Formats: sequence, structure tokens, C-alpha cells
Amino acid sequence: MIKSNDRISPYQLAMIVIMAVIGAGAFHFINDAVMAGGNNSWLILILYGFVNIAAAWILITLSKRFPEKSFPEYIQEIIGVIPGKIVTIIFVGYLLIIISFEIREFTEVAKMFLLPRTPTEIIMLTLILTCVYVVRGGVECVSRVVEVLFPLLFIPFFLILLPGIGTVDLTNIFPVFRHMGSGTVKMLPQMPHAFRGTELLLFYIGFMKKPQKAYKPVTIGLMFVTFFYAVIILLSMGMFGVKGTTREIWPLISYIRNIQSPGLFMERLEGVALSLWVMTVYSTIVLGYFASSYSISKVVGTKEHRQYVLPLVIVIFYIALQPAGLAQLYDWGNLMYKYISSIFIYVLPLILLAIAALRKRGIKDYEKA
Amino acid sequence: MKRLSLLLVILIMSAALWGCWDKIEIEQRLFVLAMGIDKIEEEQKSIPEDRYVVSFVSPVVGALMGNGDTSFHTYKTTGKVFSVALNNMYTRFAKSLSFEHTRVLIFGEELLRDEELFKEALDSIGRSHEFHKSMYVFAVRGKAAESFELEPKYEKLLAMYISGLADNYKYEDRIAKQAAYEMYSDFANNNGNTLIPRLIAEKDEAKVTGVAVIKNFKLLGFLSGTEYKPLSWIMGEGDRGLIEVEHEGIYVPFEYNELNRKLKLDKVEGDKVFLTINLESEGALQEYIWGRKLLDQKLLRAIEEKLEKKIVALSESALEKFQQEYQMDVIGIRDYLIKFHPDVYEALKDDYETKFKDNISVKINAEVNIRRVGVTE
Repeated sequence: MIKSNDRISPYQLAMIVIMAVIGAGAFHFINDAVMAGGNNSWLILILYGFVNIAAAWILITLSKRFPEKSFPEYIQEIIGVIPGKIVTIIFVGYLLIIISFEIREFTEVAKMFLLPRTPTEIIMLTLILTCVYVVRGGVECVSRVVEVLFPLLFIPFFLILLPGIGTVDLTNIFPVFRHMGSGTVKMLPQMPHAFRGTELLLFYIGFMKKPQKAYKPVTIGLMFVTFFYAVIILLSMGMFGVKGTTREIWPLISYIRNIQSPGLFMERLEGVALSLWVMTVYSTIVLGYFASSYSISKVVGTKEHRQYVLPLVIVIFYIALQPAGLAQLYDWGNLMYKYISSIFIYVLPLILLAIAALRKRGIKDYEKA
Repeated sequence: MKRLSLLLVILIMSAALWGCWDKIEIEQRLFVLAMGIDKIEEEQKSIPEDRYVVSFVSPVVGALMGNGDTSFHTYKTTGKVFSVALNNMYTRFAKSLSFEHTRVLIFGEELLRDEELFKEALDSIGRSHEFHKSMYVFAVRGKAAESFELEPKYEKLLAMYISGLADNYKYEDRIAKQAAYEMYSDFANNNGNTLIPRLIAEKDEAKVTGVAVIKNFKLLGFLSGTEYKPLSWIMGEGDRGLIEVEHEGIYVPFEYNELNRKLKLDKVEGDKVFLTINLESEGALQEYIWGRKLLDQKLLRAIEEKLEKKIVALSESALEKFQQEYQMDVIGIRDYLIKFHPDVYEALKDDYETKFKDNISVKINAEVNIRRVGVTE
């Protein structure tokens, strides 16, 4: 059972969706998206946004059947205790890999632009250990941190993007709709890369008092995410053109670096942008981290999740050190997002929902219960 | 026991707080304000493999505050690879190079003629995180290093002087301005063609006028400012400038505040493509002659017609030069076709440069509106 004070409000759920989905990957994602979708990638992305809202609704519908319970608990009800535990353990492994990936990716970016001589291990460890503190605080702590970080992150971030708009040539989006069909298909493998993080809803809806109220915040959250991606793709494409965008590994950072404001003050904004970006990476990690430690506690059957947080540091740290470099990191990331993420976001919830409906587990209509 | 653990915690914490690997004091930094890259000549080589000469300008901070003699120093270094040349600086200076505030990047003529060397230097600057790309790029005749020998008469810092000159592009269309990222996106989106602003350095003065024409990463030649001006109109980069025409024996300068270019596809006949460029400008007449009235619509209309003819004639010759002689499209026709008429472009895609010469014909129209004539009649 979930403790009565560990609740999250619908507003917090929206923040959780946004912060979980937008992570370190957004920097590199632009490159991948434009590579596959060309100048229509922002339109295709908006299309994918709707697809993912629909997918998220399936997640909510599943979670709604089991009020006050989160994924590791209700999966045991649906497919039985032992298979449920096995699936949960696999999910935890996946989450840990995702967290490690986020940490490693952010470390590489930070090392490139901010801290070239600081050892990789130190950057990673400080990031992980700071997360540990919040995760030990429980779901309420996590969701409040996310709630506080959201305005702190996005308001200054959009302000930083503003001065560059003068140099953006929006005619680069033309010809619109040309080869859009093939682009949509080509970009499809990138979809889970962008919207990875929605699977965490399986955990967090369980902490809501009224899970049937989750539809609206999740929809709003995903719409914000879609809007954010569309804006950063448009800006990068507007500044570099389609071919220029695919040349940059992190088009958005290069965009910020190129900003020239009249007068000499306010230059080299990438340092500010990256320090803001720590927050979104941080909250992405915290959300996944909590979900995994909570799942472990449910698999083992303990009341608390705290004791599992610290040992996980070693696991995450070890996994994060595995990729040889940026090239291998992105190779592995591509495989992981394409195949594993899509299973957890799109396939698993659908299967679980079907089984739950067939075996008549959970409540069908929350209001009547 | 409790005290011991407290002590341990404090010790560990203080150890963690040492961790400042990336701190460089501001006195330790050598701020590079301008940078020039040249191809090396035989007598400059320190080892036979050297290929680049890189020169820097950095300010003398103390002299800027007081009234020192020189407000900047220039440095030169050589190397086989561009980054090696940079790193060679560390063997000679007790400071670390900082490119955070670099404002000017100058390419020497010989470097621009050597495709491979130029591409390598381009990639090095484009790839490294140390260089930001909002600095201005220039090309010089002769050596880039030579332009750092000039001592500006009117300003203390050479780099600020040169970048300030380029910023004057908004007052006169003979001046071209290009930030490094614009050059990079030109290279990426336009098959390695671009125009780099030309810098002319004399003893105590510099001039920014005209452009260097780069086709496929190789220098084709330089255009003077007067040749570049009509080109900037048909490129859609006309901002402000003066055109003078002769009317009844009097030279009348017309100052335009905007010169809009509109590209339009007229028709496609077989493999021939017909386009129109419409140049619309608005502005004021600056002078006439003492005692003659200028505020007269008929007179103004006559002058407008002459201006239109002149604009068309100048633009056509500029276009002709690029279409027939250089065979490169810097005007943005390719870009326009890709964006708005992708089907038309599909047919021209292969071997576009020759098709640009043979199959595309462009008609130029001009429309001049004289709105004001100054404060006297």
C-alpha cells in the first residue's frame, strides 16, 4: 500500500510528464529527427505528439483500473506474482540503463563545453549522489522537486532562445508536406527517443488520489513537450538549414553559441543554457531512479524503498562508464530507444490492458466502485 | 566515536570541495581577439612538415586602461596541422589561449587557393568547442598575418576596428558582413560556395569592401566593392546605400533605405527555366543643385526612371558575371527553387552549375520610389 501522505496532484503529474520526457537526449534528438524527416520533421513530430498522447491514454486506462496501486503492484495482479516480478525486474534494469545513459550523455556534453578537465567520474558521481538525496525523500519529495524545477528551467531557457530569433530564416521549412509520407516512416524509429519517459506514468499515476483525473494533465504535458521539440527543431533548422543541422551533433547548443546580441554584454550563453539543462537531466534521472528503487522494494516485498537507493549508485555508475565514447554511446542509445523503449511505452501497456480485461482484474469503472 | 565520525565527514567533505579542475584565472588567459590563417612559405618553416601559419592579436590589458604605447600584441605560430600550430603556442607562452572573445577570423589568399588546407582549417574551427561561430570572417589578398601589422589610427584595438567596419554593412552595400556560422551554413547548404568579405589592410587603416568568391572551397577571385554592390541587391541583401545618376547634367545621389528583392518563377519551357527578379527600393534624394527646385513629381519620375535603368543595368552585369564566368549560384535561385518549386529543381538537380549557366534565364526589373527630397524644396 501507498502511504496516505505520498500523493501527487494532477498538476504535479503534468510536470512529471514534461520533466521525464524532456531529458538530455533533446540536444541530440534534433539531429536525428532532421536527418530522418528533413524539413518536415517538426510537422511529423507534432503528428507523433498526438500518437503519443493516445499511447499515454492507454497507460492511464491501465493504471486507472488499479487505483492506489502502481505498476509493480498491479502487474502481479494481472499476470501473476512470479511473472509480474520478472517483468518488473526487467523494467528496473531498463530504467537503470536509461538513467545511466542520461548521466553519461549529459557528462559528455558538459565535459565538452563546460568542464573539459574535470574527470568524467567526478561529474557523474556528483550528479548521481545529488539525485540520491531527493529519491530517498519519497514520491512527494520527487514530485515537488520536479514541480519547482519546471518554471526555473523553462522560463529562462525560452528567454535564452529568444535573442537568436533574429537570425533564424524560417523559409528553411519549405517545401512543406513534400515527401512527408516517407519522412514519417523514416522518422518512426526516432519516436520513442523523443517521447521516452511516458512509461514512467505507469508508476506515478498510482500515487494519485483520483487516477481518472490523469487524462488532462498528461495530455497537456505531452502537448507542451511536442511544442518544445517543434520549437527547437524549427529554430535549429532556421539557423543552420537542413543540411547544416545534420552536421551539428547538438544543434541547439550551437544555436545558442551563435547568438549575437547587440552590444557586448550577454554573450556565450551556452554556459547558462547548460547549467539550466542540468535541471532537466536531474529531474529525468530522479523520476526514473525513484521508480526503480520503488519497484525493487515491491519485488522484494519491503515497506520502504530507501535502503535500495544508495546501492543502486554503484550499478548506475558502472553502467554509465561502459560506453567507450560518444559514438558508442549514441549507437547503443539508438538501439535501446528503438527496441526496448518502444516495448515499454507502446506494447507492454497494451498487452497488460488486454490481459487485465480478459481476466477481469481491477475495476472497470472507477466511479461505480 | 561521534566526534571521530564528525571529523571524518568534515575531512571527506573538504576533500570533495577541492575539486576545481577547470579554474583558470583571468590573468592566466591570453584573450585572442583576432586570428589569421595562412598557408606557409618555405622560409617560414620551422620544421619541413609545417603547413600553416596562424597569427593572433590579443590586447594588452594594462595599456587599455592607461595610455600605453601598444594596446595589442601580435603572435605568430606555425604547425603541420591547425590545432598543432595552436598548441605550439603553449611552448612559448605562460598563459592559456582563450577564444571566447574572438571577433575576427582572417583567411590569407594562398590558403583559400589550397582546397585541402582550407577545408582542414575549416573543419578544425568548426569542430572545436573553443571557437564560437559568431566571429566575423574576412579574406585578404596576400597574407592574413600582414593585416595584423597595421596600427589603426582611430581605435585602440585592431579586432574591434575591423569588426566595427564590417558592422557598417547597414550603411553601405559595398560592405559585406559574414559571421562564421553563416559561412558554415553556406558551405553546408550551397555546395561549398560562398562569398567572404574582403579586407584590405594598409599602413594605419583598413578597409572592408567587396568580397572574395569561393567556389567549391576554392578561391576564384576578388570582387571590388562597386562590383559587389549590385550583387548584394540581387542576393536580397541590399540594406542601404547610395546610387547616383546623371540628370540634365547634374549628378543626383539617391539614398535607398531598403531594397527588396523578390524572386519569381515565370515559366518552364522544356528544360529552360525563366525567372524574374523584382527590385523595389524606397528612399530619398540627397542633393541637386543650388537654386533648382526638386519637389516636383514630374522631375522625380524622370529621375526614378533613370535610376531604375541604372539598377537594372548594374544588376544584370553582376548576374552575368556569376552566371557565365563563375558559373556559381550565390543569388539564392537554387535555394528558392528547392523551397518553393521543388519539382522544377528536381530536373536541374544533377550538374546544377552548368544548368544554371545554360538553362536558367533571369529577367531583372527595378522599381524606384523617391519619397523625400530633404528639407529644402
